Amino acid sequence: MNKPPAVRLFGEVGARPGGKHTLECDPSDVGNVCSKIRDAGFDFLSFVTAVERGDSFEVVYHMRNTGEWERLFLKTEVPRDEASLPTVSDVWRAANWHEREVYDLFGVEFDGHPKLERIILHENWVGHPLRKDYEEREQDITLDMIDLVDDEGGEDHDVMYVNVGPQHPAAHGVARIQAAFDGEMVEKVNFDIGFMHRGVEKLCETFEYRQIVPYYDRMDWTGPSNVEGAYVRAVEELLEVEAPPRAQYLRVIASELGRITGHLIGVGQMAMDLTGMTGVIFMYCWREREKALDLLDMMTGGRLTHNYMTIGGTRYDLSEGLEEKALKFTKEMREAIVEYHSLTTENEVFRARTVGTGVMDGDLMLDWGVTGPSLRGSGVDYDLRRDDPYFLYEDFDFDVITYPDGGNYDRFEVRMDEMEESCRIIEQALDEMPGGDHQAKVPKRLRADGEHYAAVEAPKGEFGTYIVADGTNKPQRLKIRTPSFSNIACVEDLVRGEKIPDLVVGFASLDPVFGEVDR
Amino acid sequence: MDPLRVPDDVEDHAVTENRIVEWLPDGIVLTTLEKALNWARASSLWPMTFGLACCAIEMMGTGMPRWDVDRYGMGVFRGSPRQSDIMIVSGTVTRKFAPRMRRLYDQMPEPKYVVSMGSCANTGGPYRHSYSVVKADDVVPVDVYAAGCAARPESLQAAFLQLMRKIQRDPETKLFEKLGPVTDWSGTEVDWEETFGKELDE
Amino acid sequence: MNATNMTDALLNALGIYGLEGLPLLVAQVAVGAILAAVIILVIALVTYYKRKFMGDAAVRIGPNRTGPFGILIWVADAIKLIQKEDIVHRDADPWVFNAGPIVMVTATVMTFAVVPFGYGLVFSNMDVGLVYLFAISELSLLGVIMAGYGSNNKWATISTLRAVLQTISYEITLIIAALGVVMVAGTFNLHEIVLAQEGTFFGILPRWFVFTQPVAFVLFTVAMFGEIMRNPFDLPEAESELVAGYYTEYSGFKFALIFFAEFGHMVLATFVLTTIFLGGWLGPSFLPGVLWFTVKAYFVLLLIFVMRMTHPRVRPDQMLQLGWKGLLELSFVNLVLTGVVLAVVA
Repeated sequence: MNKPPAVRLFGEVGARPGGKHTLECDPSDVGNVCSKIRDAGFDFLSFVTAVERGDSFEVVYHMRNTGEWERLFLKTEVPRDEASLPTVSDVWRAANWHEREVYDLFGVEFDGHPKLERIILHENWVGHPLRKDYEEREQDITLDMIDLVDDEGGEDHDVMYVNVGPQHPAAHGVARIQAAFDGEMVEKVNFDIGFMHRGVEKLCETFEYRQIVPYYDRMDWTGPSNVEGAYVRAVEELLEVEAPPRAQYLRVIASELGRITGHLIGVGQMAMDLTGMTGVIFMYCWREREKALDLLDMMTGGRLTHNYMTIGGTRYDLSEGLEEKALKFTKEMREAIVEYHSLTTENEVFRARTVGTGVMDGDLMLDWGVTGPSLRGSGVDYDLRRDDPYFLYEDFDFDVITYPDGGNYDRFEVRMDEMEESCRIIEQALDEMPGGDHQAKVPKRLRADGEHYAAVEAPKGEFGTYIVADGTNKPQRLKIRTPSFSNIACVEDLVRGEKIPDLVVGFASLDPVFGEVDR
Repeated sequence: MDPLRVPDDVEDHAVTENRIVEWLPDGIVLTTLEKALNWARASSLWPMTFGLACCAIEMMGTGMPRWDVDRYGMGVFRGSPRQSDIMIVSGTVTRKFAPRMRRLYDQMPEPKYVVSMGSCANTGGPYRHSYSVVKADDVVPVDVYAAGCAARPESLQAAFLQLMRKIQRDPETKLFEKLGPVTDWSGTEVDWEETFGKELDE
Repeated sequence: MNATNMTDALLNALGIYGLEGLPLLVAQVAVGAILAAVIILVIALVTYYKRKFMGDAAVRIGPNRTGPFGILIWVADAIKLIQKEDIVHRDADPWVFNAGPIVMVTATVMTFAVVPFGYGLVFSNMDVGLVYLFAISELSLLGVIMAGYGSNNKWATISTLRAVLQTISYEITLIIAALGVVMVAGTFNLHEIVLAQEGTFFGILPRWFVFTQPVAFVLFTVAMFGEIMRNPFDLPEAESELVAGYYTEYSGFKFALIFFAEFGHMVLATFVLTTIFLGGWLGPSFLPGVLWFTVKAYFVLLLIFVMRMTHPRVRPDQMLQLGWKGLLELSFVNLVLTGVVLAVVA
């Protein structure tokens, strides 16, 4: 295997923004090549995954460059029997969790990884489920209690080990945070995720391309319509199908309504974690959310799980009477945002709690692979809707919101302001709605070949799909790059040295959804 | 034999109380009282703050302004299982989570009820072929199933009302609860003295 | 004949004078029991009202299926909680665990003995009423510590530590602020403190201590929120952080007792604030004194509710900063200034 070193190809990389390039290298070279790639400006690792190719695993790394947002794929092949290659978790922090996931689900080992343990499945699990020859069997699953070891030691070191979750009012689903508290201070946290791991990626390998859309709905349950876009976009680009403009506009409306519903939950839950369950702000958020859900219900026929976007269009045309209702909603939404501000950001206690806590600068955030509002709260101007437009987003006039300081307050404010931008986009889309059909002609049986990665800007961040197709009507491998998975990895840096209340708020400010984290 | 006399070798007071109940003729004061007890149980069901998957969002929605389960006295969401009466299994139960869910259920005080919400909890739903998904009633005894994927708030409310009716005509409610057979996970009877006696002694 | 406590007033109304010894004791116990029952009813209704009010504020309806307007919801809650299984888990310290809620409730109900609801309507007209009030209400902290320690639960431990820190920090401010009032009124007797607020300035402004001791009023109110552990100072039972704080492990009736003691503490705080600063039962004579008292206490209660719904909680370090570096100094300054003014006027 004498493959050209990646370095020589850097001239071609970056030929055009948004362009992509694929490099290949020997497994033993991965460490060196990756550090060179990083030095060349690729400071954001999107995901690491593996694809089974006969007797070997193809390990795929996907990087982006924050300067011009060009994409780079790095591929390497390791034999199935002794699948091991050097870790890159010292190059990008984000690689830490992704490599653990690949180890967990494929059994590929990464030498030199600081903590190569199962991340999603239980530690007693036998087998690696994403391998094609995995056979289901009884698993010996026990209640593992706290296993965070006090490695700082010392007799006078009084630390209390606490399990936060999986059932905890601030767990946002089923997060389990193993925390070490020194009094009120958080010494160390360790995440245990995977309680919501439903094996979507494996299931998707058994379905036809059209049958997969509903599974995307059920991953981000706060704003499902965006997430459908991530799949539909990838498949359309792979099949070179183009949806008509009317469908694209309808998708934009659904996505932005989804973004509003998602951010309302994010904003409301963070405020609720600050206030307690008696706080009214979460209820007020739900008041508006119900209106948005009504609109989505009208458009798609479902409150939560829409199954609205199809390959090549949308399932339904614009509903009758939706336009007035939507315009009324955006008006009410703007008034409601003012009300939310009066309850939160204008409240002295709220400011005292959030300003300057949970601060993380943009470079570190990128290193951890954080995207979406959480990243923009650290001043990094990155939004896929503008930087890698899809669904004709380039037609719309909207601002990408950034806040400079990177604290809990900034992340909260980004979400608040983005809801207003979403209102603007919805109004524009309704105003300039093109005529025509809402569904392109697509063959009945879809067969695809090749591989493709496409991502959309979901409420939580970059939600992408990496499809590897083998010419049949089912994907050979479907990797779902979810924002929450990468986002919450940074919590251990975010909350170290903060107080217990800020652990809860810092976690909430990243707005994780556990269907995404565990898939 | 005097029904109120307690045999010398019996120390468990629950047994003593059962004798009193057996001795009293049915239907004097106790039936009315039991009705009142059932009414109180049904009118004040406090759910546990326990969200799993997609349905958890709709469960939250059910407590929020438009649907407002506080009307039925169910608005007090308790974070601690010790203070909650009803567990809403709102989403997919995975293999990794199942032991924890059982533990939460065991931590709740009797009388306790379980509502299985949505397709995933009922049958496995869209994930029934997955390698890591189990059903809710494999893990805990379920009283009422709410249909839907995701179950809409109306569906969950219907389940609540059904549960309330079920509780109100519960013939099992006795002023003095009889100790039923102790069962383990799978429902087989166990000799509780042998299993738990040692732990109690310590 | 002026009755100075409730028992006397009731006996006088029945035409009985000069009771002594055992009959007097029996009468006192009976009146005490009636008072306790009324207080318990009031607290229970407050729990109902809280749910209704919060429902209203959050564009909801609140309980409406149990009785008219759902007014019997507290009955259902109480009966349900009584029949729940009473869990004392294996690692708990059973004696301390069981005694905690009882201490809390006892301390809470006992404090109501010195609150004057109207002229002569005070169960025990003590000369050291205010001192008694602070001393006994502090006993409920002991209950909290017992509950938290006996639970042997990590959340409960953190919560108990927070409760102790917070109560110690705010108790001093509370007492020093109240001392300003005591200096002006010249007595510790709550009944007489209310009487000292009779009359008006310039015929309009009532002579309540909220106007003569405004700084003390503000300090007292803030410290009161710290004492009763409500937002923005609900650190010990911070739901989103500590699950349920020191009563995480309690179930059934013992939880009901704690719930009741918490609400009792809150109601007591409204009564005390009304008595000390808002002129107690005083008001224009078209309403009876007890009603004036109720109306004032009601508005204080609304303040607590609204704060609870709208304000986030502070962090423990911020709570300590505010308590020790702000409120305490101010309360001392207020005390000294009051003394100076009193000396000059005298």
